[in-house]
Amino acid sequence: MTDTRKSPTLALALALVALFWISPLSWVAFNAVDPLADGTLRWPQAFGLANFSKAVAGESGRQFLNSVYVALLTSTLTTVFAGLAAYPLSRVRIPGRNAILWALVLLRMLPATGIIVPIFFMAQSTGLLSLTGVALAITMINLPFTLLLLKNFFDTVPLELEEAAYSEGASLFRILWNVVLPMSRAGLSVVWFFSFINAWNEFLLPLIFVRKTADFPMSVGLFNSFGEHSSVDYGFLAAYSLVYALPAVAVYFLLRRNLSTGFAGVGVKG
Amino acid sequence: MFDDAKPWIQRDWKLVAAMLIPAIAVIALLLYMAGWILVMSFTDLALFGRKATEWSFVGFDNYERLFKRRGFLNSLWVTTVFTVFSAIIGQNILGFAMAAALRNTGRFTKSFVEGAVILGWILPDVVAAYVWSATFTENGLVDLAILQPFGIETRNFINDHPLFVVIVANVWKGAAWSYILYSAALDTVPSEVVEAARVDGATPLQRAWHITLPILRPHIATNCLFITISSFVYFPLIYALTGGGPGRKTQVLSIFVYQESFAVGKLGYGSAISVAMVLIVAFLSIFYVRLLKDPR
Amino acid sequence: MTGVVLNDVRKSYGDLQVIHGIDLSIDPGDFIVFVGPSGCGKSTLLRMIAGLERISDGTVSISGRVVNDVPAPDRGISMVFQSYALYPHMTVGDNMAFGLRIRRTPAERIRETVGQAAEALQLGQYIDRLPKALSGGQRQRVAIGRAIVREPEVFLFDEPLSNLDAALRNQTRMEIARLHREIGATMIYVTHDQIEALTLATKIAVLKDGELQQFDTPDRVYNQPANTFVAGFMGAPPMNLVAAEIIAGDGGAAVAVLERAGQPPVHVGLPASRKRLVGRRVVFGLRPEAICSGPVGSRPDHAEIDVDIDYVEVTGADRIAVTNFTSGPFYARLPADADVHEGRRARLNFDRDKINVFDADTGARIAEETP
Ligand SMILES: Nc1ncnc2c1ncn2[C@@H]1O[C@H](COP(=O)(O)OP(=O)(O)OP(=O)(O)O)[C@@H](O)[C@H]1O
Ligand SMILES: [Mg+2]
Repeated sequence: MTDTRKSPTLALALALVALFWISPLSWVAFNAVDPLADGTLRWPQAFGLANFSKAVAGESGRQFLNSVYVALLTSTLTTVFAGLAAYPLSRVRIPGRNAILWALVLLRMLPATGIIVPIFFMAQSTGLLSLTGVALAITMINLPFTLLLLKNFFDTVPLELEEAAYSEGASLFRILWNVVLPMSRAGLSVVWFFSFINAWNEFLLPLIFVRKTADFPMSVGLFNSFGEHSSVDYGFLAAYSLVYALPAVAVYFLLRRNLSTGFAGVGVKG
Repeated sequence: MFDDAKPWIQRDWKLVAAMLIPAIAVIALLLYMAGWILVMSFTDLALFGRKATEWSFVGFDNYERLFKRRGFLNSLWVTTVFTVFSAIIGQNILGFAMAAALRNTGRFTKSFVEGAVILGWILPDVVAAYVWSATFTENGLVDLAILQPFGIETRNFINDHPLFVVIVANVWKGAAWSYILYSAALDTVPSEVVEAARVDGATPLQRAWHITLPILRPHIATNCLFITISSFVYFPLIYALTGGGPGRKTQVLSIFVYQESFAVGKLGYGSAISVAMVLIVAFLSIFYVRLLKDPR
Repeated sequence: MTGVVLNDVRKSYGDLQVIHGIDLSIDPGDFIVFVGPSGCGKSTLLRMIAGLERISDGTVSISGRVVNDVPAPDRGISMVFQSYALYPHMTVGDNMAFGLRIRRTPAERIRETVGQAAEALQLGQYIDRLPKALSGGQRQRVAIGRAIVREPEVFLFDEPLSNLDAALRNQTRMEIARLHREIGATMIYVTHDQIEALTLATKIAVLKDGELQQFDTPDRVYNQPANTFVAGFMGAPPMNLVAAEIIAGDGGAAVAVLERAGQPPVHVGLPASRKRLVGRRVVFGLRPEAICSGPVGSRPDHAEIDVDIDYVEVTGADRIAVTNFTSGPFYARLPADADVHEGRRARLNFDRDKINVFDADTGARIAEETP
């Protein structure tokens, strides 16, 4: 019906959309590859990877690893906890199940900024004002949403499949491992991806949890260096931004196929 | 307790019960923290100074202060403007329009536009803040590419129109979510229904208005609920872009909470703001859920 | 080989009882079909035998062993589900091998068994495909293959053909019959398709509202239904049921008076074996195919009735004449060349010995007296 070749208005609109999304990145891209970058928007005066080598060396490299640590720990914990609890919530009529589900729905709405104070104090009193503490806190905040999401996915696994596996002699573990989990791959991917990206991007928690620059994840690292305007090395900052963005983009494109089915589930069930 | 459950669950019921423990512990912890906030909002607890140890209950003082001092009402207004323009209007409408427009375009166009939009979504908040700060700064992309060619005086948008900048940045950052949901939702509209309307002579606009939109109503409500709430409590992009300033021009509620609690150190007052935020979010949720259920 | 015995089996969901005490004794090697209307409890009963549903009361025994508390995998059964329940992420071969792998069967032996089953079911070339790349009939065969490789003593099928089209259903039905002949295992099969029931079963169990109505050979279920429910349920079109009052005729012979709407009642003399019915209100049951048409006196031994034909349905081999004999429709299955026409009057006749008689109040069959 509407083909871009037949409808020039549509083609123009889509071109503008693409331009709106791509063009702001030009500044970062130009400055990152320009060792002589001075922060103005201009075509690169020279090409070189010097900025990138600064952005992955020394403290910056540490910060990269810190981010990897927080993101992997968070996504693993979230997926495991949510997966474990989602199965009984989906399959067993536990007394109080509805109360739990309602609590989850409400807690999912609870803004993280709203409970940041108790989180901070709790981390302080348990000695968790650290990257591990950040990961645990994000896991906690993510859990209501991811748990509900995964429960919805488990709900769609036909019970007959589990019955078939059971009557063939499969144990609970086998049923979970060989039937439920493989069939919920899309849901697990979405949950893993969500918690990974959330943790990778998380800014507020490390901002208040972590004091030493060597312990910063990249979000706070980047924020910190672009606050100090006078002595900013713009080429370095641009390269650092790209290095910081790359894993998130890569994870998305690696999981893309699984995610698109998963997102459909998010939309319908809410 | 597992009497009615499936036999493989009954057989290993202890394991199944154990599987629930981490989640229940986390839920309990979250509820505990929510309760903590509520209690704290009735005290004058401070982060540092004398009130950090010798705090006392002050009744509704903190809540009164919400309405007597300028800070909260200003933030509420800023947050509302930000949410309405960036989420409900910007992300929602743009996301829907793109989902509809990209349904019938060629593979390449679709992948390219979709990839660009999703890139904005995937980029970390602080990077996005950095990108938009560079775009709207004096002699940034907007000045060079739009204002200068038309002979308009260049300016630093972040100083002159800060709320506009964060709204644009949030549209850029978040429209992909609405796009993804609406793409999936449009796939669920049965093509026979739309074709039937076409056979009946409905124009494309009539088909969209009378057929597609009503069918997608629950998806639209769900999406609006989601993006409204997430924009309402959004923190990192705005904070990294403007820090809430200049002055209080972009001080949304989440930044206000953060600053009152951790910069000013008034934890009691900060908690009262948090409680107010939670109540507003709950109210919004109820509103959208009503919208979701009630067909007419 | 193994028999299955159900002893006063009951099932309740909370306060709601859905199976009300069923006794059934299934001989080794039998092919039993459970039929009944939707919601009558066929699947529930089958799943209790399978061990997928707790038995609220009574006992189920397999090979003389009470299995109420034996887990499903240890009962020596295999189940074929209505939706096939194939694992969508496993290939055909892996689907069939899954149960064997769990039992730690040696790999060599698994390959052999699965290979044989796949050959027997003509699935050899699909062994590495995923279920979604198979047709409905092929998926069905994989499900059966998965049941076979475990070499169970009892096969359980829950409406295994209901997702197939008519042609495929016939073909698969014959394959299941062949499978039963070859393996000789006990099979229990749920369906609400009477053709499947009548062709496959060695014995049919007819259920209604969680109660057993009749358990007998297909021939007897069809020709001598235990009550009016079974009579009306089996056969398409179903058995004609007509209310009658029995009076004493000449010499004490029983004569049935069939009331007709707006027309004089019909009198039908009954054979001597029905003498004791005199004075009772009963229901006559007459199979449509027991009815013939023909000119007056063409079959002197038959009872004759005159009817107005409302409608004639030509099905190829037969003409099905529908009339309004008493209250509901009354069907006669006649040969294709029968001289019956819509809107005309016709004379039908039937063999008095083929009349089934049921009690008007209880609906239970009243047997013929043996002289
Ligand atoms: N989990 C349950 N809780 C309550 N009632 C149930 C449950 N499962 C089944 N029933 C009821 O038990 C009765 C028997 O159900 P069953 O599935 O055995 O019927 P069926 O004969 O197999 O029907 P169909 O031909 O439609 O498959 C039905 O009335 C059904 O509503
Ligand atoms: Mg059933």
